[in-house]
Amino acid sequence: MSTTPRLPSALPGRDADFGTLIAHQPELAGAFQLAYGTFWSHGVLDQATKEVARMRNARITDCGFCRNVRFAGARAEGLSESMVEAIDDGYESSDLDARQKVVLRYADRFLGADGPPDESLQRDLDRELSAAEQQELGIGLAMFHGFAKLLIALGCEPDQMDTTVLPTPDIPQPVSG
Amino acid sequence: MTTSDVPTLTDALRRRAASETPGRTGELIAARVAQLHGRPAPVDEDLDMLVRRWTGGQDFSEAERAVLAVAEQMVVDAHGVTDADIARLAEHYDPPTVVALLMHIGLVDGFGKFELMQRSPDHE
Repeated sequence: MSTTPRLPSALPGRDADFGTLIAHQPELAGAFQLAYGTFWSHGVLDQATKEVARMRNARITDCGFCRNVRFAGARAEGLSESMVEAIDDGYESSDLDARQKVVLRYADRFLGADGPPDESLQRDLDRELSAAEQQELGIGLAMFHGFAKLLIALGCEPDQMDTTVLPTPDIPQPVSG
Repeated sequence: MTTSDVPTLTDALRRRAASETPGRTGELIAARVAQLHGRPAPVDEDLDMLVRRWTGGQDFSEAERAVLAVAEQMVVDAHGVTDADIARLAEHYDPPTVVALLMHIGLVDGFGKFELMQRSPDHE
């Protein structure tokens, strides 16, 4: 694991970190922020369910930043720290609810590149999530996975990081003035 | 913004990342990542074959080989990408291009796995 950014900052006077590295591609970074903000704050799937999937990716990908971040919206919807702690390999026998467990089974199959859900998993998914929610879950996992790996490859994992609650991503507002 | 914008915006992000990759590197990434996923590579048969044996041949430039090495390692285990791997990329490409290449690799990996989830069970 590297905790030393592997490229220089794109912004003069600012230290190299994930934000200042992807600033080398401002339009691409903007496209990401728009997609990610819309996904989190204006999507069909509730934020707590998205956070369950994000945390499973964080633990399987072992991203030192993603593992320690919590989004405020998911907390407000009731995803407690004890629930987040249950998103480990023993989740099937945890107190997580049926919807959370089916999302975790889907995430494990997704992240393992194991192919489409089997009949049983698809039946459970259809019971818990609408087709639009399932699509958004898949898109979310694709972004969580891709950007966790980008952060790791750029050497932007923190040396040490406490659990940190961040505002839920939203569509960037234009800077006025 | 409406809920239906999420797929549209992520498609735009993926297209944008692909468009920032130089030469044929975007295609090489798409091919190698698909091969590692066990998906059909979205390139012609000849290029598919060349990419399958990229480590043994002389079919790729040093810059392309640096890209393929990082793409392969990011799919297998991103923690295995080394300082030397990124330094090798940076010998050939400027920082904006390195960022675009790595973002494209991450997106192709993530959305490729989503594509696998959406295949009909007949592919199994």
